[in-house]
Amino acid sequence: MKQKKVQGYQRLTGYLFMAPAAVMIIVFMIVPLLWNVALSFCSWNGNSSVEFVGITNYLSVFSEATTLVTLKRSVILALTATSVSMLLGMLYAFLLYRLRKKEQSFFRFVFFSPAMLPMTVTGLLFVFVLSSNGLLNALLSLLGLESLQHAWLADPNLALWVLGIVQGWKGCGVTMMLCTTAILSLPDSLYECARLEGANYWQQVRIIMLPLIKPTLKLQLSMTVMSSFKSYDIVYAMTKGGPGEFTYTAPMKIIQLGFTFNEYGTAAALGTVLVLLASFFVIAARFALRGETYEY
Amino acid sequence: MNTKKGSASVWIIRVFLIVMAVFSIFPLIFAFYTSFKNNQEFYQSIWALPETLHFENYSNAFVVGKVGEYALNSIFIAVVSLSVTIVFAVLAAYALSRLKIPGAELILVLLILIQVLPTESLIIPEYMIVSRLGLLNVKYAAMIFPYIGWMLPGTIIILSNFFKTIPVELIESARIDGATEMTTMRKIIVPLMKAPVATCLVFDFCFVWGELMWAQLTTLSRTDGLPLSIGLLNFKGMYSTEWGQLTAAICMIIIPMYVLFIFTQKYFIAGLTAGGVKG
Repeated sequence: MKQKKVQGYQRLTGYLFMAPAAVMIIVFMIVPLLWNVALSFCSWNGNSSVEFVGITNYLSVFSEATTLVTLKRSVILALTATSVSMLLGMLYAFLLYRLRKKEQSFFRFVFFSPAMLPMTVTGLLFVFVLSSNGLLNALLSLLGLESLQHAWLADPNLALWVLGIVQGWKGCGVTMMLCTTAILSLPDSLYECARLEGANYWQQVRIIMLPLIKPTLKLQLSMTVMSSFKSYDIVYAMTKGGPGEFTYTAPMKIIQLGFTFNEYGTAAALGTVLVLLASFFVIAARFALRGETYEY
Repeated sequence: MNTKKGSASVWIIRVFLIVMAVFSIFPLIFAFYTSFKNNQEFYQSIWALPETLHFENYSNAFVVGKVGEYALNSIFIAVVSLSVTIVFAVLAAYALSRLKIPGAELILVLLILIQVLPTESLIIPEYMIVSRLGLLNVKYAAMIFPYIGWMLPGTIIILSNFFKTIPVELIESARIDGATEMTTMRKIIVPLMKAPVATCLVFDFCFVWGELMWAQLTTLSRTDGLPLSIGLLNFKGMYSTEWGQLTAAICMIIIPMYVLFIFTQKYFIAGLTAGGVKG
């Protein structure tokens, strides 16, 4: 009887503790999320009455070439950024592990630091590096490689990839950090066995570390894919969608449809499609990394 | 892991990493010394060190470019939204992981799901909500409230993973000694929390400090209360070719962040290692 009372009291405290966070999350995340889905089936220009139009908005997303192509650009940007961030981050983590503790923490600091910079700052810094009279071209001419000089951000064939690489470069620090902490939490005894068996470092990486840190990799891959689709900041800061519209991605289009053209329904539909697309890639990535997890 | 630290392969790795590190950090160093040059010097030779130190780039960026004002706005938004987020998240995470809430696991899974969704999928209704609540007319409020709502799920997840690592016995024994839930939190949990809170603070701070899309939308009709992310872009628009001032503005934002990170690095890494972030 007493036990029950104590539990009831605990539960009540629990609800009280949760209440403030719950209110904020419900009002500013859950309601807008559901509302967005509802709105994507309606036609609304901000003033008119909201009218249910079924899947018309989705049809117009998929039939309007200028809208559809923004999704394609978003995918290219996200996949480039994800690959760069994952590969570079893992490479750093595995290489760092072979160095002394002091060196490790120095390099970790250097490689992680871009991750904490605001995207706008990274963007401006790279505008400075990549503009036609910027740092990279100056470096190339110093090395006598004038033929490799490009207007990196003004070339329609290059700009989108360049943005992806910059975003990946910024993100690789987090990948490195999570991999490093995962590697550090593996017990030393595992490596000892492997060394006794005569495995070299890369064999140890492949056979022991990679499979054992797979849960971390899976998590980081999912998070990176998702966040790489949020490309508004980098695009706006570096190219504003240019040259022409070659780097105009879906998030930019959502804002344009909603707040410039007042087509809130279509904007909401594009937002939903973008989330579904991103989720598809996350699921695909998790499927690619499926398989058993190991206990140690 | 005690391979020889001086063998040839280790040296190759070291050289490679040094080259990559130079690549990563060189733009920053370069921006730093460009920030003391005027445009004439910049175009004369992009590599040369400044002949005289043009400190006026900094004062110009700060006063004329209003970087100082933008920075104050950003600091205010960050301090308020981070403090509220951390307090709310600590309470909620403690409740979810240690107070036997029915369905707590389900709630955590839901939080993970909504946390990964891009903000793009909710900004349009979000804007309507904020405007109906009248927050658009209050300086900073239109940014602070949604930021708190957006940061909470991720912060709660990290903190509740941490609370699960605190032995139940520790909490039980405090309860037996007659401590209320609030006292238990204050005396036992909070002192143990430095590392995971530092992890959350770094993640959340980076988000608030750099957020651009929402900040732009909610300040379209305002000229005051603009955060740094927008301010910097306005600045670039005004002085697009004044490299000295632009890099000075960049430096003024980057340097405090580096200082902050150097001081929190220890806790931040400890927080990550403690299993705060795990699949």
